[in-house]
Amino acid sequence: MLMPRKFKHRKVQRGRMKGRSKGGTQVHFGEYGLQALEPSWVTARQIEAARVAITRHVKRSGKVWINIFPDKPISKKPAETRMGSGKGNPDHWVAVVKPGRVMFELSGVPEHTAAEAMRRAAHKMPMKCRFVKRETMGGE
Amino acid sequence: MEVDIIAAPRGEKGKEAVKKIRRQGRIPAVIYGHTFDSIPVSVDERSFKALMRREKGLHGLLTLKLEGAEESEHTVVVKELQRHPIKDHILHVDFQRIRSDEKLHAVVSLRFTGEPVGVKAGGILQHYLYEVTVECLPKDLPEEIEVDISGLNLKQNLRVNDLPSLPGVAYVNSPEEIVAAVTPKRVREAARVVEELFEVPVEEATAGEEAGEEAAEEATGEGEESEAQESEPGE
Repeated sequence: MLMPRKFKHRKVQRGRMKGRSKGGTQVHFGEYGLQALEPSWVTARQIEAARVAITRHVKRSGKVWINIFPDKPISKKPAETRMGSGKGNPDHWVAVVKPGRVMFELSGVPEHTAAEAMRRAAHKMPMKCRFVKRETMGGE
Repeated sequence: MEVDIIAAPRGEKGKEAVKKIRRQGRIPAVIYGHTFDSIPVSVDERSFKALMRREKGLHGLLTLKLEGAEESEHTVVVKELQRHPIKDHILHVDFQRIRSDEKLHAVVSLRFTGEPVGVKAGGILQHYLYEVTVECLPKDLPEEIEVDISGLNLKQNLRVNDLPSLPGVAYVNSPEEIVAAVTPKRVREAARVVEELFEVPVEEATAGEEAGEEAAEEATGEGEESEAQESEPGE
């Protein structure tokens, strides 16, 4: 699973997820993408599950890009522990995703295959998503 | 010349004024160009989207008619299109007025034809450029550039200098820039390398076990699946 190789602080505050994604709102590398429509934390497990879902459906043809990285540590207190005694231990890593962010990109496969692969990946995501295509100036 | 789009000048500028224009079903736009003063205008959203749906879309030269102006018809190109990042609304359009005697820089999309030999042999076609910037006179501006990639073999690249040469058209992109390439399938190996690089340390692995049985089952399930994938013979 994805996680930072080294980090400055073991524990960080939760923060807020206000507004829309500041960048990465367009399909940049591939032809198709999966765009987040709601703000959410995406765990490293969810990213990996979505990646597996996409690569399986496209039968390892095509190329997949993952545009998000879980760089935020989330701490958790052990089960059946009394409150207090400081912050819990780091438990997992998440990526902070805001609406508009294109999380996965795909190229080298037909559109219907890409749409189905992204639909499967969307089921692994904790937020509403939509399938997007590379923006053009119209025509076809 | 047939008019492609009709624009009306807009008097008010600013955030609130353009919001009002958008509510009326129009798209704020601007017309500018070398030696011309820029004019803020608005265009009808429905007719603009109809223009996008036609065969050549917004590529190439367009004829714009400006309502209530002395010099009413202008030959323009769409220089930039701003879209809402989540909704599909078009927020703003930049039209560049062009002079027939002056060379212009324009972005032209590439249309790839044919199935590369390398793909038939089991490779993956990767596109690096979907459009190129060209410099030419307006009369020579192509709507799109057709590129035949059927001869592309495994581990071969198509570069900008391999693109078809069109009369009067020069490519602005670096000639060495890669447009498309056929690479061997390596999706699985790349994923394995990433997994090895970010292997979970012992401390955190134990913390993960405490997190709950469900999560642990999910992790082992996925691990088995990825291992099963990795054990398959590579193509």
